Amino acid sequence: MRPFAEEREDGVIYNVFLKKEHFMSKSTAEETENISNVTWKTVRTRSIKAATVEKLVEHLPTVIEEMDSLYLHTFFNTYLTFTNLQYVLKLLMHRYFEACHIPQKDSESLKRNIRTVVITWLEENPKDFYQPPDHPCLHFLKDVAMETMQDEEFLNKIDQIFKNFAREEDEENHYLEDALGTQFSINDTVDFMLQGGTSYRHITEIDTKILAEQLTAMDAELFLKVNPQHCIGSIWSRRDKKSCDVDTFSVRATINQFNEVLNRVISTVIWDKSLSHSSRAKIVCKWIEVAQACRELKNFSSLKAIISGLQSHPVHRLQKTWAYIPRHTMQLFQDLAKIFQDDNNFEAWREILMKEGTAKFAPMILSKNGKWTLKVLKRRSFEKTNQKKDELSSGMYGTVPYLGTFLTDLDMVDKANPDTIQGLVNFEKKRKEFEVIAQIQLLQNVAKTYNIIPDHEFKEWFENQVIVSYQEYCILSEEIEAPSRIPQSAPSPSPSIDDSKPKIFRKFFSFTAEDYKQRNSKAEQSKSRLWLFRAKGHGKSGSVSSSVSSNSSSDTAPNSDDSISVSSGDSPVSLTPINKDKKMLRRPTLKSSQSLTCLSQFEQLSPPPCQYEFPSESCRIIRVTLDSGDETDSREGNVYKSLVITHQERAPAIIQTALLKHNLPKTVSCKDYSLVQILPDGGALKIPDNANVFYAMNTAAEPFFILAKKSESYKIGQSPSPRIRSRKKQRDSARMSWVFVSGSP
Amino acid sequence: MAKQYDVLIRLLLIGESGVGKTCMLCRFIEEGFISPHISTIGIDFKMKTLMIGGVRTRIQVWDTAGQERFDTVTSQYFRRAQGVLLVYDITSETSFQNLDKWLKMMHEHSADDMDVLLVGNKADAENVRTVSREDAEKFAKSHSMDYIEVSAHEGSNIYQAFSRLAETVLLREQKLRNERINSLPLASQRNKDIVPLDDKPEEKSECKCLSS
Repeated sequence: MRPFAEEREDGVIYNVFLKKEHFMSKSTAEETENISNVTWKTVRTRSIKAATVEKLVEHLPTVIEEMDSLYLHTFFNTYLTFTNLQYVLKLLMHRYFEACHIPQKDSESLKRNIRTVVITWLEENPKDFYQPPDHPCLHFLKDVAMETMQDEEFLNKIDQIFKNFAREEDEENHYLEDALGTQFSINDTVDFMLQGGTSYRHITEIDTKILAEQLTAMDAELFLKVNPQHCIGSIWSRRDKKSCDVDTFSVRATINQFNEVLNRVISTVIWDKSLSHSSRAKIVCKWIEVAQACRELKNFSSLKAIISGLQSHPVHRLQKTWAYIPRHTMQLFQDLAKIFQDDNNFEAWREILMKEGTAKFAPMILSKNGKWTLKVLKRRSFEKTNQKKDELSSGMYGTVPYLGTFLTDLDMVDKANPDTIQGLVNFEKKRKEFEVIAQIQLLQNVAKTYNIIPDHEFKEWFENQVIVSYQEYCILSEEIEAPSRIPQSAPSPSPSIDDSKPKIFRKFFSFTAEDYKQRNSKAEQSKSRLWLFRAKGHGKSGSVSSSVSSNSSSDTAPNSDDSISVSSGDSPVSLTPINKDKKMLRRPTLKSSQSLTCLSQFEQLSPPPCQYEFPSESCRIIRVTLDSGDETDSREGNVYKSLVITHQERAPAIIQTALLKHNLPKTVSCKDYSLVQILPDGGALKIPDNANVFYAMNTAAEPFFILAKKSESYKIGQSPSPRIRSRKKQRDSARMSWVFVSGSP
Repeated sequence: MAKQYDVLIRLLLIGESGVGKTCMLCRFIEEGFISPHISTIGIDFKMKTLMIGGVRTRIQVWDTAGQERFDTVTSQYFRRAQGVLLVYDITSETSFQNLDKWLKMMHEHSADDMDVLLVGNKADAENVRTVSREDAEKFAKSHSMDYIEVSAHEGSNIYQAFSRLAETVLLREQKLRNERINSLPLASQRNKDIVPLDDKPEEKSECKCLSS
C-alpha cells in the first residue's frame, strides 16, 4: 500500500494511509433488510515512518490502546539496531514515574499501558534481559515492581525469568559452548564411560535414520537459541566492527554447527586415504542417504551442510569415487542439491520453506512446479517400502531452516534502506526487517516440536571425527587422486547444468578428465577383469575396506581368503580363491605410503568393479550394427547385435565387445570405430570416444547404434557418412532383422 | 509467458567484507528492474536485464552477504558463474592486499574461463584513498583483468561495471561457441541432427550460458 501523504511533527514523520472500511449504519440496519446496508467509509491511518528513539518509545504505550501489536513486535525485535535495553527501559520507566508523581487525567491508563508494554517485552524477548552475571536491568525492574508498582503478578513473571536464566545457564554450559568448540563437555564423556557401550566407529556403522535424527537434535537445539534480532543486517554484518557491542554468539553457534557437519562430511570421505574408491563412494552414498533423511525431517540446515560438504572442492574433485555412485543415488543427490540451487534468489528453497515450514510432515506436500519433491519421495518410499518411513514420520513435526538465506535477506534490507531519514530512525526499515524476523520466530516455534532424544554415543562419534583445515583437506584430496593436467570438470553432483538442457547433456558432462586418462590405460585390459573386494570391514576400524586386484598383478596378491571375486560385463562371475596380502589390506596409517601406492596402482589398472549389486537401472541393452564398409554391409545386411552395457563401461570397451560380436578379427582395434546412435528424427548422435555410453546415449530414443569406421566417416568438415544416412532409411527393415537376430547373438 | 530475456549470465561479487559489494549490488539493481519473482523481502535484489548489443541479457548476481561464515560459500559459489567482480575498497590497503587470496581461491574452484573485472569501490572518498589508481591498474594488468573504479555511494560507474563485465562474458561465450561449432566433427553440416558432445569442460560453461 502506498502512503497517501506524509505528515511531520516534532521528531516524527508519519506515513498517512487512506483505507476503505465497511461500516453498518444502525438506522439502515433497522429499517430494511432488502437494501444493501453496507456502506463504505474512508479511514485515515497514520504509521510512523521515521522518528527519534524517544518518540518511538513514547509511542509504545499508545499502541496498546490502538491494539497495534505489530508496532510493538517490530519495535522489540529490532530496537537493538538503533538503541539499547537500558535506554529503552529508562525512557519507559521515566514516563511511568512521571505518571505516578504528576497525576493527570489519563495517567492511570498510561501506567497500565506501560505495564502491558513491559510485560509483553518480558514475555516475548526475555533473553534481552539476559545480562550475566547480575542481570542489572531485570533487577531494576524487579525493584520497580516491588516498590513502585507493588504488583504481585509482574513480580512473579520476573522471578520466573530469573529461574529460566539460571536453568539455561546450566544447559548452555553443556551445549552452546560445546558447539562453539570452546569447551569439552566432561559430563558427556563420563556418561559415555558409565554406559560402557560401544561407540560408533565408522560412519557406515551408524544407522542413517539415527544419524539424521541426531544431527537434527543438535541443529534444532541451536536454532531455538538463535536470537533473531542478532541476524539483522546492521548487527550481524557489522559483527566484526568495534561499533557493534552485541554478542552474536547464538547465530555464530548455529553457523558453527553447520560448518562442523560440513567438515565431518569432508573428513569422513577424505581422511582415510587408504580407502579404495569404492569404499569411499559408500561413505558418499551414506551421506546422501543421510541428507535425504534430513530432508524428511525437514532439517534443512544439515541437509545443506551435507550437500555443501559433498560439493566442496576436496570431495567434489574425487572423480574416481563419484564414478562408483549408483545412478539412482546420484539422481537423489542432484534432486536434493536442487533445493538450494540459487536460481531466482533461492526460489526452490523459499517455496519449500513457505509450504512446509510449519506443516507437520515434509512428504505430504508437493510443490506445484517442484517435481523433485515428488521424485525424491517416490524413490524413498520405494526404497523403504515397509517400516522405516512410518517410523521416520512419527513424531516429526519441526523444521530447522538453513539460516543463511535469512541472514542474506536481512543484510540486503539493511544495505538497501538507509538507517535514518533526516536524522530520524527509519522505522519503515525496521518493519521490513521484522518481516524476516517474524519468519524465523515462526520456524523457531515449530522447531520446538521435535522430539528426539540425544544419543551420547553419536555425540561421542561426532566429536571424535578428525577435523583439519580446508587446505589440508585439499592436500589429502590430491593425494587420494592426483590432480589432472586437463582442467577439472565436475563429476556432476552439482546441479550445475540447467534442466532445460537435454538430459543427455547433463549426463554427459559427468565425464571427467580423470576418467579420460584412466580409460586410455584401461581399454586394453577390459577383457581381463577380475576384482575382489572384501565385503566386510577389517580390523578395529570397522571400515569397509576393499582391495582391488587384477590378473596381471597376481604376484602381489598371495594367499587366499574369504574374498569374493566379481567380474562384470561379459566375463564370468567366479568365486575364485584369491590371495590377500595382509599388509595391504590392513587399514594403513597415513604414513604407510608403500601400501598406498600398491593400492592406488591396482585401482589405476583395473576398471571400476561392480561394487554395488546391480540395480536394474545400471545396465541396459543396446543394439549395435556394423558400418565398416560396403563389402561388409552387403554381406551381412543390417545385423544388429544386442549388447548389455553397464553404467560403468565406456565406449572403447563396448566397441571392442561389439566388434567381437560381429565376428571381426581381433586385430581390428576399437580405436578405429566410433559408436553412433541413430535418433528417431533421422539424426545421429556420435558417442565421444571415451564417453560412458550408458549415460551419453539418448535414452529417449531407441538404443540403435552403428559402429562407424572413423577414418572414413568422421573426417572433420566432411560429409558425415552417407552410410549413416542410408542406414537410417533402412532403419525399419533393420529393426526387423534385429528382431530376428537378437535372439542368438 | 514469453521469455523476457535471451541470455542469462551469472556474475559473482567477491572481495573482503566491508568493501561495499552488497551496496554495489543494491545500487545496480535499484535502477528499474523488478523481477517477476517477488521474494520475501519485496524486491529480488539479484537480477536485472540489460540490453547488450541487441541481446536481452539477464544478469543474475550472486552475493553472499551475511553468509560469509558458512563454509559453503567457497566451493559452491564459483561453479556456475561466468564472470566475477572482484571488489576492493580504494581506501583500504588491506582489502587490496587480500585480492591475491581471492584470486587464488577463484582459480582453485573455477574453470579457467571466467572473466574477472577488478573493481575499486568508494571512488567518492578520494581524499582518504590509500590505493593508487596506478597500483590497481598494474595489478589488474598483471592478472589480465579489466579495471574500473566505482562509487556505490554516489552510484557512479556502477552500471558500467556490471554491463562491461557482462559484455566481456557474452563476447567470450560467443567466440567459444563459434569455435566449438567449427571444430565439431559432423556438426558443420549436420548440426541440426547431431547433438554435439564433447567432454571438454568448456562445454559446460557454454551450456550454462545458453540455458535459461
